[in-house]
Amino acid sequence: MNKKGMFGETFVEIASLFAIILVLITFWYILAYAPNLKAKQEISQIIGAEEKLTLINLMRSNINFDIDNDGILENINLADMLVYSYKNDNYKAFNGVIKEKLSVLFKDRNCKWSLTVFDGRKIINSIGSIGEFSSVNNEGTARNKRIQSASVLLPVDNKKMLTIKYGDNLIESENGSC
Amino acid sequence: MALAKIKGRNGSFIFGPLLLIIVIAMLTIAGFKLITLEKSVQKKQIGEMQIELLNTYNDGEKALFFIEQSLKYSGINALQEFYSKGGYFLNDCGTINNYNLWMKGSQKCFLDKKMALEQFSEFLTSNLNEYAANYNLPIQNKYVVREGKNTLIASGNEIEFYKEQFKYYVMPAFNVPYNAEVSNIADWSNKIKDNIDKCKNNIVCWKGIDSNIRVVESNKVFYFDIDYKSVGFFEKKPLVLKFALDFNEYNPLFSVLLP
Repeated sequence: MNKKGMFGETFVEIASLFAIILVLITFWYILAYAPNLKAKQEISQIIGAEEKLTLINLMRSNINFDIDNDGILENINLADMLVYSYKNDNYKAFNGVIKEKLSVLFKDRNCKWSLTVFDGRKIINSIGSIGEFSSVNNEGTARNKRIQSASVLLPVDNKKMLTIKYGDNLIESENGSC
Repeated sequence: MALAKIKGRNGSFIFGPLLLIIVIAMLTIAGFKLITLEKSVQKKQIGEMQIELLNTYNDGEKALFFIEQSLKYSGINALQEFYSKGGYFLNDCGTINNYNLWMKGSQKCFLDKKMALEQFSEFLTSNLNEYAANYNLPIQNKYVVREGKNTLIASGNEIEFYKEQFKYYVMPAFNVPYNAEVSNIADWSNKIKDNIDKCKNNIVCWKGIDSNIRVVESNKVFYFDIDYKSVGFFEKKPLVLKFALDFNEYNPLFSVLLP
C-alpha cells in the first residue's frame, strides 16, 4: 500500500470513530430527556388530599354540659365531652350533639359523613351515614372512595389517647349538594 | 500477498465487530428504557406543594389542640402535686416523711409568689410532657406560667413541624381559668413565716392560726395539712397543702424555744 492509501484509510477510521462518539452522545441525550419529549401531557389537580379542619373545629366547639356531676353546667368543648363519654362508656349524649352540630354545618342537607372513635385499633363509637370506615386515614383509599378525611388525637389521661376519624363525601362537596 | 493485505487492514477487522457490539448494546438499553417508560401520556399533578403546605399547617393545629386538651387535664394533676409537695419541685431544705420542709433549724425555705410560679411551672412541664410523650410527633416542651386576670397563662418554646420542603413553627401559649391557687401557697408561706417566732414548737399556737390547719408533731417536726378547695375537671378532688417545719436544729441565739 502506498503512503497516500494509508493516509486515506487512517482518515476514514478516525472519521468513523467520531461518528460513533456522535451517535453515542445523541443516544445518551435522547435517553436522558425522552420523558419530556412526549407529545401528550396530562395535567391533573390534586383535590381532597389535604386534611379538612372540620373535625378539629367540631371538637373545639363549645357546649354547656355538667361534666363533674355537681348539678352546674360547665362550658366545655366536644373533645371534653367525648372523653367524659369514654370514661362513662356512654356515647348517647355525645352522638346527639355531633348530629346536631353537623346538621347545622350541612344546613340540613342530606350529606353523607362519618365519625369514628378508636381506642387503639378498637372502634368504640361510630356514627354517620357513610358508615364505619376504618381505613379512612389511608390517603390512597380515602381518595379512591372520594372521601375527604381527617383525624385527630385526643388525650384521655397521661397514658391513654383516643383517635377520632372523620370523613365526608367529596363528590357531594364538589357538585355543591353539600 | 493476500495475507499482507489482511494484516494491513487490522483496524477495519476490529472496527466491524466493535460497531456491532455497540449497536446491540444501544438497542438493548433503548428497548429496556422504552418498556419501563410511562405509557403514552405524561401525567403532571399540580397542587402537591400547596397540599403539603396545608397539611404541615394542619399538623401544627392538631398538635396545639392536643396540648391544649392535655393542659386542661394535666394542669389539675400538676396543681394537686404542687400542693401535696408543699409547692416545691426541688427543695433545698429537704424532705421528711414525704413532707417538704419549709424550715430546717435556721435554714428557711419559704416561698414567695415568684418562686411559687417557677416551681409550679416545673410541675406543669413534667405533667404535660407525660401526655405529650404519647403523641405521634415530638411536642415535649418546657413551659413557664404567669398570672393573668383570672387566668393562668402557660407558654412554651416554639415547636417545629416539617414535611419535606416546609417547616412550620408554633408557639404554644394557653390560658386556663385560675383562682389564685398558685399564689395561695405563697400567701400561706408568708403566714407561716410570720408566725414562726410567735408559735415556735407550740402546737396549740399553730392550730389557732387558721381553722383549716391540721398539724401533728413528732420529734420536734411539725407536719402541716391545710385543706383548700376541691378542684378537678371530670371529678373534683380536694387540694391539701402539705409541708413540715423542723425545729430540731433551731438556733436558740435567734429565738428561744418554749418547753
